[in-house]
Amino acid sequence: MKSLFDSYQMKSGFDEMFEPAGVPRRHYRRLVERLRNFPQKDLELKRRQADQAFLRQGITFTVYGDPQQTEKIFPFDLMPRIIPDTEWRIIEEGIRQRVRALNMFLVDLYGDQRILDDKIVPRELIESSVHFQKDLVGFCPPKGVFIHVAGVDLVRNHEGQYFVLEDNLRTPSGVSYVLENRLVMKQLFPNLFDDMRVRPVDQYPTQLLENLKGLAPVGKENPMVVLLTPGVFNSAYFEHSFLSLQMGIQMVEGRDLVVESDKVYMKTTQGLEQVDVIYRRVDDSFLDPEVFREDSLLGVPGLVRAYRAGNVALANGIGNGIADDKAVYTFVPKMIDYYLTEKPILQNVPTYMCGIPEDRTYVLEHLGSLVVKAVAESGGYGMLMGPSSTKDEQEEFRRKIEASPRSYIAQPVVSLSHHPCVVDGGEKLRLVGRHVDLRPFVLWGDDITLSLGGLTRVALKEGSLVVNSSQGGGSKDTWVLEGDE
Amino acid sequence: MLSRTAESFFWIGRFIERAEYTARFVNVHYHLLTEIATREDQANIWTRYLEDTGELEAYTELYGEMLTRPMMEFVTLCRENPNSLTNLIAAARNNARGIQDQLSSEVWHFMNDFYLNLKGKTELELWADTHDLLGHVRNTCYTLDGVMGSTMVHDEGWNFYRLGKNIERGGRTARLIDIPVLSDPSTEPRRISEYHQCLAALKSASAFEAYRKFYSAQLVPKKIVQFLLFHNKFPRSVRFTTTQTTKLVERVAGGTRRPETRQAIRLAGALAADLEFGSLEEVYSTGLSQFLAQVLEQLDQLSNMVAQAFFRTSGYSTTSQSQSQAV
Repeated sequence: MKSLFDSYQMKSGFDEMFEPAGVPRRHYRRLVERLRNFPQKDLELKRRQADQAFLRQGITFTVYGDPQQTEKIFPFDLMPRIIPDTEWRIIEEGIRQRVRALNMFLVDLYGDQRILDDKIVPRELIESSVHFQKDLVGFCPPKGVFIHVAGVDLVRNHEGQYFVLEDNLRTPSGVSYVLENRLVMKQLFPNLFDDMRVRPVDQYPTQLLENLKGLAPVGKENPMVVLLTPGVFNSAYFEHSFLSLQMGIQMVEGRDLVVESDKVYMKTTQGLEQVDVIYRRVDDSFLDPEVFREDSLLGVPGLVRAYRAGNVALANGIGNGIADDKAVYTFVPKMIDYYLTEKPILQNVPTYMCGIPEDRTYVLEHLGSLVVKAVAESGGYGMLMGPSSTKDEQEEFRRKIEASPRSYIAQPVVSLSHHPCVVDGGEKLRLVGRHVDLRPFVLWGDDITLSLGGLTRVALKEGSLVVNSSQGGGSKDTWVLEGDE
Repeated sequence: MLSRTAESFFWIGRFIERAEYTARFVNVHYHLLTEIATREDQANIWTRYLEDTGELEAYTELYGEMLTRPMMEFVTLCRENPNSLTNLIAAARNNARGIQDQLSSEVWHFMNDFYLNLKGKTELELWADTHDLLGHVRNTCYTLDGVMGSTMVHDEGWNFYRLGKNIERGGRTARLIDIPVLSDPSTEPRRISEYHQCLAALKSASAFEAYRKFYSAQLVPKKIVQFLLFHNKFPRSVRFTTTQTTKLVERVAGGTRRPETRQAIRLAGALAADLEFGSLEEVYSTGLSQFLAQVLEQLDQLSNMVAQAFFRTSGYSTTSQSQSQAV
């Protein structure tokens, strides 16, 4: 019988599953062995079942700018990604170190601003950023923690070395897919897990809830914890309801809350009920029309007053955007050295800042080979992928960069690692290499903990390097092993 | 419970019940009409139905002349009609989506399936198997009630869902009785079409079999009115729903006795008493149509008062948009 792997073609760059010679890497050997003789038609069936499971459960996201408000499923790839224990430990340590430094940076920025006085990070860079909430300087959140939840994006280069691409310290999403992918995978392929010693992922909501409860103002026996969602039209709405259900907490919208005498209440059928902790999935700028965008209908007037008065805790804190700004990103290795006097365990992708003249000149001369990103955008919007761009697109970005250099950064194209994925190939399913990244989720309570593995996103379009769900990306189950094989 | 959550439960109840009645009404009438009714009879029946539900104008604007086929498309699949089956199920499902964290996953999956399944239906499929499609909608509504009842905690949300359901149900049954053939207590159906209308009224409330158990198969207008209006054990009689409504309003009020809550309890109690102690003599001396109009008016007032008491908790204005309340 023909094996699924027979027709798999290795590409240049790092393959997660196979060594260059075509033999499976040590931690993939057992998986490959088990799947080698998996019948083609069963695989097709499994894939239909997976799609059906996601659609039925409403595990969908809404595409912005689509007048039909279409709900799409985030494509799920059947082939799991495996991370051996040794590798995971490095990732874990590296991310802990990074998040610790970033939090110290936030405490410093909204406090004494030593790092600016010592000229490690240019003051101008911070003060010119829209993400820096000047009004909050002098305010320290409970226990000095700004970053309660983070989703750090990692990629691997042609040698398999991990790099940090983005820090995502505001309202990172995707963790619901980590849990759901595992659930679906276990339903579809129970035998595949046999004796593999895959570490479970489902303690995340429990840990998050415990951390949130820990933020309540002192003396609250049974704090009221809620999740604040922008509502059903938000692309991550499924995740908001999923996490609320998992944690057994109330999900609220801005219109359900009201602030009176600097305290936050929710409107219930029995009157007003006080809220102590808000896990908010609404961005800073929409949070409180009294302070940020006046036209925001998603927020709660007076929320920032209540936060500053210490009557309500917010996770994440306000103002985190300044630390995951794409331009500030460049300075994270320096922060690690400055605050922790350590060497960074995980490296940055080299970044050119168009705000700096020498960098700008270089970027404008090499538009065809770089990735240009708008500092203020996320989710794969506002990007120029140099190698696949047209002359017109390059010209458009040249004009944009010259008009507002501070708003753009550029990075060399990292030839992301790829992973075998099951895709439609004419009549039947085929196994092909597609680019992947990895987003582990970080929780900060009494300690910094990571989701075991995280979300592996896949660029399902051939050759594409963009893994965002809004740009045709998908995801796969990610296994962290107890051992290395 | 959040006011918004309570309101969503309430409207899920109303929308699903409305869909169930619509599917049953259309199914029953379509199949009775195919046998004997003239085109004019058919037009009359559909026109009266749309007048009752307040949708006649919207229909005329879209389709003009009253004909069976466009009328049925209008109430089942039409995208422009907020009360078409497709839109009612979508509205119920959107409410459910907004309170997904408060529903059992069984309920959510079931509603989502229901919605996805109906969303893709075309006119072609409706005409290929009308009975099957309408029967499916009706049965799915029944089943949904069972899934909710057997997988959810019977707390506030459940009570608001049932409150919405009962208010809607009472109103729908009342509208079914409001037809000329039932309005004169001395008549007995003679023409075959009159006989059919009596039968249709009962079947549209899925009451024919139950009626037969009490009064044999003989269709007497007075007895039909008695049964659908005053029966104390049949779950779709107006009286039965108002008794339920009173209990539910008291239950959701819990210990709180704000003025709006007290007013809601009073309205529900007054309506229930009218039906509990009402008699056929009284109904016919008032005139059947007028009597039913009063009942509908009271249901409307009650619905508004429930909204004021529980969905727009006093003390501040609310930004929540009110739902499509055209009934």
